[in-house]
Amino acid sequence: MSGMLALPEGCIAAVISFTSPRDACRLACVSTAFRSAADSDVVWDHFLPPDYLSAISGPGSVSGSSSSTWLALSKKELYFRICHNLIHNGRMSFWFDLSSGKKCYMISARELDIDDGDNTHSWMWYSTYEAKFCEVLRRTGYKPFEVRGKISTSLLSPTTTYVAYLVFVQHSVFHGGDSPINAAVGLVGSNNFHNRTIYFPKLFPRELYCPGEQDEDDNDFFPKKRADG
Amino acid sequence: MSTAATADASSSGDTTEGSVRLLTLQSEDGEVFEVKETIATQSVTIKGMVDDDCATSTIPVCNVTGRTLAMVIEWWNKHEIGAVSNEKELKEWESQFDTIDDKSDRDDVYDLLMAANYLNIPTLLDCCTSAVAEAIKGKSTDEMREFFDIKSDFDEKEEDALRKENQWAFEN
Repeated sequence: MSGMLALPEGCIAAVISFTSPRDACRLACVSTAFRSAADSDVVWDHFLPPDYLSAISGPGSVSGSSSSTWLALSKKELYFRICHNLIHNGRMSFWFDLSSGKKCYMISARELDIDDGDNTHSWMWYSTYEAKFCEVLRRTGYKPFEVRGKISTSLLSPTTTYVAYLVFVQHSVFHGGDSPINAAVGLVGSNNFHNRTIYFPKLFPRELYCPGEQDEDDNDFFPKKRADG
Repeated sequence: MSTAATADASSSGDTTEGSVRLLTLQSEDGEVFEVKETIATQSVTIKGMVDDDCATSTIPVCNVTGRTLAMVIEWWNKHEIGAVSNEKELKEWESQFDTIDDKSDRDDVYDLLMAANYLNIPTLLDCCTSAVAEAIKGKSTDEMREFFDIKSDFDEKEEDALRKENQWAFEN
């Protein structure tokens, strides 16, 4: 045996941990020795964000029963489990972006600050099996409204550009027709707001997202369906 | 990549040059090198031996040939504090490890990896592991096999199952 395979498994694993999750999965299919190194905890520990433990088992992050189950998994299984299954505490859900391992969060409507003056009767809380959180907010009426969300930057992955999305479902008797909706997106406390025009197609799918800030220069948006609902 | 031995061969054991203590290292194929202790202790393994007073006679460096050990010593010399005038110069010198397209360059890097692992030299280990990692990023499984010059030892059924298990990595 010569070349790379003459090296101890720890060395091969060290090389693999400098690649990416996608490369590690392809390397696992190269040969038995590579598979053993590429599937090892050393490698996947490197791909998991450094503070993943507190994100899944810290105070108020997930329920205790599920976090102990998670920690019994191999690091590779844990990585994919977190990528594919939201970790949830009722107010906020958390997952990794599959390719980059960066942390993503979704905030429940209950945690958002929604303001349209005194017109409170146009909002209604209700539950639906389609939603990730147990309660969603239904909006009727046409008045402009403002949504503010807050997240601690310490929760986010460092040196990462984040994009904010507003996730919503169109009601079956939506009367907006083809008329575009004007939206402005920006950071609270800054005057730097981006104005967008959102166009709803006639046969609008039921589960959608609307891209928020930090997107391309085009100011016109057509909402898209989310792969995960 | 080209390297040259910078240490003089010597048969003596523990010697001193001025006030600097010299250590004697012997490669697997019997080549002997005299290295300043202050330089050689970039190896965590050797530092441990010096700290435990076990570095008084010739130190055998198993699994590492004289050719590779000379490259390691060159690495130590370049990374000795004050050896190169600035960070940029050091990075330029290190960049020779970035291109490992030739098989001979790859074999040198594998040998250095083995030495860096055995002698526990974190800087050299990081440099070599990231060089290999950069070279294989984005390659297909077949291209990776070609790069490492290895054949699959899975049977067809096993390989199908593995590809299915890691299917996500083969999309796009």
